[in-house]
Amino acid sequence: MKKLLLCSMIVAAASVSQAKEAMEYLTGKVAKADVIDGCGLGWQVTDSRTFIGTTTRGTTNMTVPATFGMTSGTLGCEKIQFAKNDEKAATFVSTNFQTLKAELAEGQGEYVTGMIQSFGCSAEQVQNISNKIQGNYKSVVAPAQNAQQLFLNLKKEIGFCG
Amino acid sequence: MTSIDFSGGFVIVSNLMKYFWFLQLFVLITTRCAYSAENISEAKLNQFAQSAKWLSLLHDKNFYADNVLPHQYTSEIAGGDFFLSEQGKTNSLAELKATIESINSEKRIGLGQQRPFCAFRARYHLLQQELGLEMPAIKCEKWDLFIKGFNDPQKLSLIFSSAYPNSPASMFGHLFLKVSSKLNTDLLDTGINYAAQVPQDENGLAFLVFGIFGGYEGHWSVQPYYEKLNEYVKSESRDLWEYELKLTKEEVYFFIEHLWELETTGVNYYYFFDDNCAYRIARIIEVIKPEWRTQSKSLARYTINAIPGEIVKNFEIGTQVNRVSHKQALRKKLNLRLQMLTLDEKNIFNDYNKQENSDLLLIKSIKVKDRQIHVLNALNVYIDYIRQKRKGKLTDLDRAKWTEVQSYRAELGVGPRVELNQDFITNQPDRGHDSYGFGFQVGQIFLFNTQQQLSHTESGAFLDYTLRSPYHDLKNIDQGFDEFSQILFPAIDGRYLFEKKKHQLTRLNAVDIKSLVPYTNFDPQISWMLNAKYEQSLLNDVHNDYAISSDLAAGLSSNVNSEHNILYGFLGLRNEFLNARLNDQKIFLFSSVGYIQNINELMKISFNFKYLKSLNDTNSLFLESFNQFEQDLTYSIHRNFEWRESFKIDQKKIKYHDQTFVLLDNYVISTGPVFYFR
Repeated sequence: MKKLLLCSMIVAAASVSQAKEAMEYLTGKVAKADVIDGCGLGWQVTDSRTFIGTTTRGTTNMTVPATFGMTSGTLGCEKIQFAKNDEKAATFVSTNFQTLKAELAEGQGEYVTGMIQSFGCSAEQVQNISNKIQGNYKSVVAPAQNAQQLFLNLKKEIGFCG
Repeated sequence: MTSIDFSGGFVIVSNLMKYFWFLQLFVLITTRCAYSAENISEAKLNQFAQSAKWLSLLHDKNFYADNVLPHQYTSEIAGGDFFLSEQGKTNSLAELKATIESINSEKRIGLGQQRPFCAFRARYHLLQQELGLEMPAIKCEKWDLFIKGFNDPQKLSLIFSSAYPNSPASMFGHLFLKVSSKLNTDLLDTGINYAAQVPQDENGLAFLVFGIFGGYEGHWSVQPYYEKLNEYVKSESRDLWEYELKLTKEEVYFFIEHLWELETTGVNYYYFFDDNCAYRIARIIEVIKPEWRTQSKSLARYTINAIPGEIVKNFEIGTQVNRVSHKQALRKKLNLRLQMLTLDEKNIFNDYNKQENSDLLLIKSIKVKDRQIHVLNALNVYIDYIRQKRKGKLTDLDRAKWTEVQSYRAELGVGPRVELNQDFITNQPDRGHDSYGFGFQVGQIFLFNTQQQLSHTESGAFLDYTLRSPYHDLKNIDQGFDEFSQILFPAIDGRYLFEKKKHQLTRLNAVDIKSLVPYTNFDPQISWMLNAKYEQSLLNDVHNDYAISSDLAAGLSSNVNSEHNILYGFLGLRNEFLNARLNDQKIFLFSSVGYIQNINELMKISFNFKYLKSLNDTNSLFLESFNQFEQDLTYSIHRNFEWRESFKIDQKKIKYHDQTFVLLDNYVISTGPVFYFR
C-alpha cells in the first residue's frame, strides 16, 4: 500500500515536471541527440528521452551494456587512433576534449592534471608541463579541431614521462 | 660356499619403502588436504561457516556483529550463480563446502562464463587466509584485466551527489563509490555504481512501476571517475561530497574482489525506495567490515525508505570516515566566478556573449591584466556550462568566439589563484536535519472582522501539531540541503482549540513539492510547485467541509543580492473536490509571491503573499477570493531541533446571493519547536 501510494505521488510529481518530454517520448517525437562535441557526457549514458534520462541518471542510473568491466570512457566519442600504450591518454583526451581546451588555456585544473598523468607523468611534473602547453597554446591546442588532433599534438608536446 | 650379502640391498629397499610411504603420505596431504573439505575438520568448517567474515560475504541479512544469539542465516542475494550449493541461500555450511569443493571445477558460471575459482575471487582469498586453503595455478584473465584497470587501488570513498534540481526522481540525491589509484588524482580514479538495468526503449510509466516494485535487476558498473564527474558535476550541475572511508589497502582490494564475484555471479532486484543504490552500497561496505554492522548502528539502517543522504549519516566521521571533500557543481562554479567580477566587468561579460563576432576588444579594454583574467576565467566556465545545456551543440560562431577567448587567456599566463571560502550553508548531507519530523506550535487566533452568522471561526488559543515523513520544507534551515527546495511526502497536521475543547484534522498531505531555481540569462529555468492533500476546504469556516485539493503552479525565481536569498512568483490553479465528491469541484486561480532569506546558518526568514480567486463556483454562497499574508521565522538550536514562529493574516470574501461580503478577517500567531529523527 505504501509503495502504491508513493508510486502515485512520484507519477504525479514526475508528470508535472517532465510532461512535455514524456508526451514527446510516448508519441514518438523524441528529439535526436545531435552531438557535435562533448562525448562521454551525462546525456549520452542514456538517449535523449529526458524523462527517463534524468530519472535513470539521477538516482537509478541506467547501466549501459549488460557486461561488467571497465567502460572505455569513449561512449559516443569520436574514435581516435592510438597505439596500445596510449589507450589511457587517448581515451581521456577523447572524452574531455573541450574541457581540456578550457583548462589548458588557464594553465591549470583537475582535467589538465588528469590528462598529463594519463600520459604517464608524475604529479611533480604536472605544473611544468601545463605551463609549457599554456605557453604554446596557439600551436598545440588552439588549432586542434577535434580530439584526434589534440591528442597527437599533446603527445608530441609532452612526450612520454613514464 | 659363497654367501650373498643382501644387507645393503635390504637397507636400500627398506629406505625406499620408508620413502614410498612418506611419498604417499606427502601426496595424500598435499592433494586431498589442499582442495577437499574432507581434510578440514568438520568442527573447523562448522565454526568458519558461522563466522562473521563468511556470513558477511554471503550477505546474510540476519547477521549483526553484536548479536550473540544464534540466528538463521539467509542471504539477501536473490540468486543467479552466486550459490554453488542448492541450499546456499539458507545453509552457510553447505555453501562453504561447495565453494571449497569447486576450487578446481571446470564448470562455467555467471557473466563471462568463468570457472568458480576465477569468479569467486573474494571467497577463495578469504578461505586461503582463514583456512589455509591452497590456491590452484589457474589463470583468470578476465579478473586480471579487471583489477589492472584500477591501477593499484589504494582507497575507497563514498560519494554523495546532491539532488538534481527540477527532477523528481533525483530529488533525494544519489550514492556511488570511488576507488582511488596510486596516482593520487581524482580523474584517473574509478567510479563504481549500482543501478537498475532498464531497457533502452522503456516507457516512463513502466519505468516508474517496475522501478518501485522490483521489476528490474540491479547491477554494478565501473567507469572512469572523470565520466562520473562529467555526468554529475558538469552535465547535471550537482555537487559531489566525498567521504573517504577508513579502510586499509588490503580491504579495498578485497572489496574489489567481492564486487567482481557479486556482479559476475549474483542477481538482485532493484527497488527504488528501499533496496536501492544507497542500501546496496552500505551493505557491500559492511561485507568488507562486518564489525561495522551492529544492531543499532548498521551502515544500511533506514526508516521506511533508504534515502541516500540519510544513509550517509550512518557513516561516522572519525570512526569510519577519514575526511570529507567536495566537488562544486558547474553552475555554482560559474556563479562564484561571476561574483568575483565588478559591475562593469559583469557588463563586459554579458556584452561579449551577446556580440555577434569574436572580437576581444571589449575584454582588452580592461586595463589591469589580472582583472582581464578574472573575466576570461568566468567566460571559460560559462562556455563549459552552455555547452552542457546545449548537449554539445555548438555553432561555428560559438567555436570561433570561444577559441579566441581561450587563446587570449592562455597568453596571459596562469593568473591569480581563486580561494574558495567555505559557505555558511552547504548541501553536505551529514550536516542536515533528519528526515522525519514532529512539531507543535501554540498560538492565538485574533478575529477583527467576521460574518458571525455565517462563520464558525472564533478567536482563541490553539495547539497545532504536525507529523511528517521525508524530506525538507521551505521553512527548514537549509544546512545539508539544496537551498530553497521543498519535498514533502505524507504528513499529518492537526489543531486543538482550547476554548472549544475541540480537535480538528487540518490536513493530510500526500505530496508537496516546490522547486525554486533562480532564473538567469544564461540559465532560464522555470520554478514550479505541486501539491496534493486532503484538508479543510477554503470555506471550512462556513460548512466544516473537507476537500481533496491540489495546487499546480509555475513561475520564476531570482536571487536578490546573494545565493542565500530568493524572490519568487507563481501562477497556477487550485482544485478542490469538496467532501471528495467528483461532482462538487471548485477551481481557483492561484498566485503567490514571496521572499526567503537564509540570514545565517542558524536562522531563516520568509514572507509569502497568496491570492486565490474562484473561477467556477455558482452556488448561492461561495468563496469569491482568499488573501493570505504569511511570515515565518525558523531558528536552529541543534541539527535536529528547530524553533519556529509564524504570523498569518487571512481574509476571505464570499459571494452570497450576488453580494460580496468579507467573511473573515483574522490574524494568527504561533510558535513552537520541531524535532527531527530517523
